[in-house]
Amino acid sequence: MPRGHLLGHDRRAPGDQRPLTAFSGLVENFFRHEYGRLVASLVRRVGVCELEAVEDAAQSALLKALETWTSGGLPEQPSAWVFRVAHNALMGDLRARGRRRRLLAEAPPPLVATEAEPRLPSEVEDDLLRMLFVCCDEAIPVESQLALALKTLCGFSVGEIAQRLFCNEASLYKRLARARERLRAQAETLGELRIEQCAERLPAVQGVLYLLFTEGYLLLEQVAPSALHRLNRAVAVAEWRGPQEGLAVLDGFQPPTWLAGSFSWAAVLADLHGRCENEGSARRYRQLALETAPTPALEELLRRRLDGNAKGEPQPDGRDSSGNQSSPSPD
Amino acid sequence: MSKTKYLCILRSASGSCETPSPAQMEDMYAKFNAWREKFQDNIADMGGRLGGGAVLTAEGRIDGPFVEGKEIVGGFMILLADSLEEAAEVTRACPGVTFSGTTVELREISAP
Repeated sequence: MPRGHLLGHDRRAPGDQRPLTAFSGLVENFFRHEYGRLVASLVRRVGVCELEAVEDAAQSALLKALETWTSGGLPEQPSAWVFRVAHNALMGDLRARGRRRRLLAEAPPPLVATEAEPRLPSEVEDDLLRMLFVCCDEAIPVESQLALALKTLCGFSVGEIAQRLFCNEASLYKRLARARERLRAQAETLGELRIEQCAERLPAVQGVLYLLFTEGYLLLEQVAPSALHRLNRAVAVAEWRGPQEGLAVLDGFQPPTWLAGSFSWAAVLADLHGRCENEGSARRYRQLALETAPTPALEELLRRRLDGNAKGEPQPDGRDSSGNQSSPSPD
Repeated sequence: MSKTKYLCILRSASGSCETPSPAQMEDMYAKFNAWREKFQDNIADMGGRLGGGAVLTAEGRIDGPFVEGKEIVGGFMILLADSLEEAAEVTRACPGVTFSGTTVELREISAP
């Protein structure tokens, strides 16, 4: 019996016998990467004022792809497919809002009519880079720049970012909303990004880029998965069961030199020791983290984050925090 | 003996669905494909998600979708299995139906 399904979307040519289960065509991390590309490309077309609508459109297009492709198989050009769907969703949204505003007798908004023309790879690269510069607006705090880049370019959800930046979801949500609001206000008064603004933002962009690589990232994981996983696990365990349990994960672990020399290693240890009130170690690692921070912006971010912890955070479930220098060895 | 067809009706509590992040979508996609590969002999029709529609009666037409109680029929698929137990096993393994708030109704399609 034919294994086609009733709802269409199977774009195989007649007579094409390739099985619908041939899903291998989708590149790794397609959804996350494509989210960033969609946001960047659509923001270039309609302006950063519509960032929120753009993000919604990207999200809904990917969700539609997930539903459609799992039942109907992949289209020939998955990237072009999601772009067209996201573009249509965005145009529909802007049109609907235009109608609503006209009904409320406001001035008709300038409807941006763009075509869903195919994107060239080089164009997408440019859009991504441009979006990164947009995120690094000096009018928004450094942490928000990073959060916004993780959200718009890396496709992380608010929850996933909160986990990585050690902050709570509700405050991150507000912070992102404020950042979008600032971007909108800036864009309305200053117009599009100028070349000299880009130059001014370069250090911030470099800082965020560095964090993007270390926070999630992919590059290091490919180089030495186990060491980085160990560090990530320590962070996760610390969030889950308290900083002492997190330290226990790293107890007796000899990091490879590339990791031991990186600011992320020092920053995690400074954070965990600080929260355990092991003041000597916390100070030592804090110093190391600040020294190895690759940019001033990052250094400032670390300074704020680590000093925030030093002011004393409540220990989870009243765990003993008497400040033992080294943690008991893990089993 | 040829396998029996089962209609698999998916219902989910309305509004219970939180949108997954792109990373979660990747995960769902991979799991779903693994399920699909594993049970390909049991899947007669992947079916799909159900959108809006209409109910036709002798008196006329009522527009949908149709919410009964708190649940909405979200999708369907058709499975092939030797028994209801086997069909249930295939269904339970499907990542799409394991969200909380989702129920699945399995009904044998009797051959003429």
